[in-house]
Amino acid sequence: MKWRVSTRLALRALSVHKLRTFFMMLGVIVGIATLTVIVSLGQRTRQQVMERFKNMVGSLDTVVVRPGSPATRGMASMSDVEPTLLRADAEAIAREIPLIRRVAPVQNASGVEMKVSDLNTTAAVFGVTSDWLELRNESVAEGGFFTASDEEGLARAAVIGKDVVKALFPDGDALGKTIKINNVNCEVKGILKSRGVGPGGGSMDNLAYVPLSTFSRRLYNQDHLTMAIAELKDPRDSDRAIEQMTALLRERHGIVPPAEDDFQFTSPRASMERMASMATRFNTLLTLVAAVSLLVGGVVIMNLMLSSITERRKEIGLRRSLGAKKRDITLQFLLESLVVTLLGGAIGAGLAVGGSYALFALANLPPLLSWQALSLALVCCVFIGIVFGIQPARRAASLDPIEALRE
Amino acid sequence: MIEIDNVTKTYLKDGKNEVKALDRVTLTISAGEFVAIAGQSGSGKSSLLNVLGCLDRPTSGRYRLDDVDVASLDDDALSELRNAKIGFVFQSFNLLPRTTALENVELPLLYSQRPFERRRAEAALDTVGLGDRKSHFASELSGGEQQRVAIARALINDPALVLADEPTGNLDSRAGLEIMALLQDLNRKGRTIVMVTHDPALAEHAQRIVRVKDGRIEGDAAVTAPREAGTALSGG
Repeated sequence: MKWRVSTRLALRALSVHKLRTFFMMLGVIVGIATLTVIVSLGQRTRQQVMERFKNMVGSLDTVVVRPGSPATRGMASMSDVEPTLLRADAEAIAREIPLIRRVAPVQNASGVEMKVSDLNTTAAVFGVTSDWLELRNESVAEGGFFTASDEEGLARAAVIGKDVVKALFPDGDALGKTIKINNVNCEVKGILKSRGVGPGGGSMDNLAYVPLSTFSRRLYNQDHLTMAIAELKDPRDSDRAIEQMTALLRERHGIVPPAEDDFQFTSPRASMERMASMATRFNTLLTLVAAVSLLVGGVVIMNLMLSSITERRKEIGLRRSLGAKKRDITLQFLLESLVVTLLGGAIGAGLAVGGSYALFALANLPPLLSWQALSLALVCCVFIGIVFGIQPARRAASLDPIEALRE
Repeated sequence: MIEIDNVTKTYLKDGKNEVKALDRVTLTISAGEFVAIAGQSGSGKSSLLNVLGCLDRPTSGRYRLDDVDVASLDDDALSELRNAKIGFVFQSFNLLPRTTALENVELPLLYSQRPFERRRAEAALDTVGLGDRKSHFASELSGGEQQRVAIARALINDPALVLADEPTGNLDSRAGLEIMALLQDLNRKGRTIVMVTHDPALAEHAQRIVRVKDGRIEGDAAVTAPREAGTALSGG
């Protein structure tokens, strides 16, 4: 009850000088609005990147083995990868390390030429095994995938993405037709379901899958893998599995210290985190705007409150004469600065959320509204209210009541 | 009830010269009295008011209010004592702006140990005859009405002592008389009132006048026939 009355009196006091109160709020309004936009947008971007990444890699509970020393960077392709990782390595991992459920050996190349009569395009081509779709959580929209016997028989079969269909079959009728991949005729056995865009924003439909054996015998005539995807039985075992795979591969490749590994591991989960944090880095400038606004807002609040103390001297003296202790005066002024920052924050967050409703309605996106953003705004407002309100409040409380009451 | 015994109050003027605002003052006021403290400005009456109102502690001497030794209290205890025992009425009313009459009267309840009860504020406004002005802002009331609100505020915690400092100084003569009539009425109902004034005519509304000069009590006498503000009002 007393808090309610005190808060109402604080609002009354702030309503005496509406313009001054508005200026006290201004910095907080701008700061909190910016902050709300940053946090909500950042969260949305992060979520989007993570979703796309997950969509790209299928299961996150894997460890990817690639050839080349751990210092090697960049996306592997058949033409530039070191020929150290073999299909037999992948099979050994699956056989000898119990933490691993299965291993998918992969050969891939990018920018591969594809032709149908006079039409041509370039796309990524992957040589994979028949359980690939299951591992990657993908599916075909039309037709089917190749089978284990296709793989054994080096079948001239391909399953292609929507972008390839669009480029090579303008009428959309691709199933059963023949396309030339790297000058090898392959029959289209299936069309992949679209996966939309990847974490970087590019299409994930511009590709073709062929049986791994077809890739290594007919397309490139090379045995080494570009990667092997090891699926963990338990995602928490990632580090232990990497240790065991390292030991196994070093032994198989005859590597002895001090020689470096000729293979490397990446964890999709870590890559995803890295990508997500990179995607939200553009917020630095906006964060600076928010921080400066809040800081300036706080300093303005402090100064305007300090100057209002002179003018409210008699009120302070009156309250003291009515029995207010120093602490009561401190709390009263702190309450007023908190009311200012919280009201300013509410207006700022309201502007940000309301503005985003208007803007995103046009772009057909869900509006920005995250409880993380709002709770961060709340914490900031309370923090600023206290930090910049405490000095004026202390000064008000330290007034001598007799001096303050003097006519 | 109020015992001031040999109280001296000294200030440092300009940081070095000692000034005696009160010089060995001894004064006893009983419950139910209406006392005027009269004196020119600079006489020490304000200092006496500050000591009486527990806003200030004497430099030496004793002050007992309702058997509490005020001189030994710290700042927080003095605040509590002011809240519970003393009702202040000021020359310039000192109401909060943009705040209703009722909220102004409630203000001391915020600092009281007792629970916050709105009906007490309503009752206090009824006592001063402003029961129909509860939700008016101070700026919407006349000077006399504002001072009534201030008196209601002084009464709300049922104080042992109402201290009025030139309560009619900012009012025209008729409104001033009305306020004096109200104070006299409260006194008749048993309220102890101490009024500080420089105006000898106003002081004669009290039952007893204590004259202060140069920090000392110069005279202390009962008023044989106090002026009746109520009669003056109905008569003219």
